[in-house]
Amino acid sequence: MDGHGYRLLKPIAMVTVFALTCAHAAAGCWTPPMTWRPSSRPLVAVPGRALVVAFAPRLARTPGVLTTRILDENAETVADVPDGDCAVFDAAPGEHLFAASVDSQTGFAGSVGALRATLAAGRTYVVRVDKGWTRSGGMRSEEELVLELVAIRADDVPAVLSQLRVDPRVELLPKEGRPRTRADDIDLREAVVGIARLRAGGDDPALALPEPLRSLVPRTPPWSAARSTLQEDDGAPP
Amino acid sequence: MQTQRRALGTAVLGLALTLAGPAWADDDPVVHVRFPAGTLLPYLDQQTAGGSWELACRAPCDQPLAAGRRYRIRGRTGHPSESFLLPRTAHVNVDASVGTPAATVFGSVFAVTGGVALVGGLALAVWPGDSDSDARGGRVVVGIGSMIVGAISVGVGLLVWHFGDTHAAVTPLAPLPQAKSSIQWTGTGIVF
Repeated sequence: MDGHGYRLLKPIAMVTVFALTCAHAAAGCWTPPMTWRPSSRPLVAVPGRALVVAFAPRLARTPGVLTTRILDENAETVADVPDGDCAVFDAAPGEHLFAASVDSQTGFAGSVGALRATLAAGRTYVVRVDKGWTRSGGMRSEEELVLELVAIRADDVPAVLSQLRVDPRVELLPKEGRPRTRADDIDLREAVVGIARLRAGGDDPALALPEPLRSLVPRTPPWSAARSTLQEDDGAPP
Repeated sequence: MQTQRRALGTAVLGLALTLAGPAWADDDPVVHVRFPAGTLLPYLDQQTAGGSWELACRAPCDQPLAAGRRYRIRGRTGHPSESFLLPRTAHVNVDASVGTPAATVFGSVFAVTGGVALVGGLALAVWPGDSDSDARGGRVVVGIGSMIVGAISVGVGLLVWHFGDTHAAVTPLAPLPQAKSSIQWTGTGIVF
């Protein structure tokens, strides 16, 4: 190769190295845009509404921050709960189904949490976001995230609330100013709520797969009505 | 006279509908639609009398739907499944998998590109009229290579197209309970 060829090669190599370095740095340092803000509101429901407090204990062995998105039965986002934080949101009194997923991980039904709730106006309810890992079966060897929304019972609510009162908490940014993420996709939100409905109805979504594929996906952990149903009187009265 | 005939017709129709009502309602299966995680939410459409489609419910549905009508599964976007009839049982499971438009496009592109490579490779390999044996040998090698790549591409395309398509499998779960009345409207007549 003559000198002219080498002169061309040098900038190409430099650009390539620079692009690879940027890509590597971006992959390691990229964090999803903030969809929540610190909240200073008291843990008391406003008149005519119920207040729900969702807290997510930090999951060990997890790089970065896992954020749990909670959707209502209409697939509308009601809260984003960062790992180790608690989030608050208002809800209309009455029956609800809340669905939760983490960072758009929806390929495994066990990664979608479901909570049935009957809420009363003026009361404050507490929900714990339980997360863990399970070894997937079949040909897949990686671990799958397991997520569940657990109802805190009336007896335990005062103690949990007194602890949460001193912790910082967050609330969802208003819809107009909230940055869009992949989890905002309507198809994804609808699918998450659909999976949550199936689980809360006692079904295993993996059974919808044809037989050869069914054995390749891990079994969905059974949903427990006893753990994941908020009764009306579970909320702290005003 | 015409008024009397119309009144008689209305009375007969009313009697038939009265008899038909409960038996027809008993035939409606409760439909449960499920779908695997990681796929789109299935929408269940029913065909109207005019032949158009209207939304009946979304997964998991869990409501009675009229047996004897045609239904199909679709996503919010993308191709619908083949239409199907609901059996006359108490409960029906519909296992649905909603395809994505991207899978249809990619599958078609892979299959068509592979087909072109396959045919082109075959033509290249068997085309006569090259006196130079080295050139002919090279052409055969390129042709066979193109055929192999084309065949793989067609296979991948068909797989993506098949699994990316919308499917529905209907499974009847429970037989109908015994009819309460011995008089039933079968659709073509009254059975005692």
